[in-house]
Amino acid sequence: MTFHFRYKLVKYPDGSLGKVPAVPVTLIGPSGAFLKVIALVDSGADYSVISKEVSDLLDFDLTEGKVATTYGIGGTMKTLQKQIMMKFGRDHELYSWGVPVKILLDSADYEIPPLIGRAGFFEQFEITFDERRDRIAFKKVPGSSTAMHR
Amino acid sequence: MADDYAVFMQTDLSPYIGEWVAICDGKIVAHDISLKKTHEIAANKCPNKAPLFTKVPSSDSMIF
Repeated sequence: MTFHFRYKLVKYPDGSLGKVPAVPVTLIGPSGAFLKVIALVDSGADYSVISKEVSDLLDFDLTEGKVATTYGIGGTMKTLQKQIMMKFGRDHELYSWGVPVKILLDSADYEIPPLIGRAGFFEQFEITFDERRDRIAFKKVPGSSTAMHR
Repeated sequence: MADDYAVFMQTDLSPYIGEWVAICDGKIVAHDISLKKTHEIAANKCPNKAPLFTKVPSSDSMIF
């Protein structure tokens, strides 16, 4: 099965318009606390990323784990890698599975919305960025390690 | 979440640049710079429900 999400129309400060691949996803922390968020699908990101304030609501323990330096377009960021559960899909086709996530530890990075990167996510689907139709398509890869919910 | 996602798609969120926005029962129920505060307000207005949260970035390259 293939499901789609249309690109979100965005308005830039100069008045011009753009479109971004923003999708709804439920993030689930180690305690079971969850948050339904809009995340950007970023094929250029090695890992999914959330800010510390998102991780706080999901009850992540940030005292454990190794702090690393992560490199992005905006420069370097201090991050902590954890495992997060994602529930994602559309209508009656919903999947959940574990994905590695980088937590941004600096408050200056709070501006960054949740990002869905490649590790643990892109191998679950054949993903097509369809600029002509302004939509992103997800086709489940058979046999990949997700649980389906109806 | 479907209705809340539809509202997200249809709404111009540029008035909320730099803020988190919570959408529940098909309408915006909270917005604030702090996600924690946005979450608290939304939880009070939408008890026992799961609002949809979106960050409206203020950077030039990604504004919803």
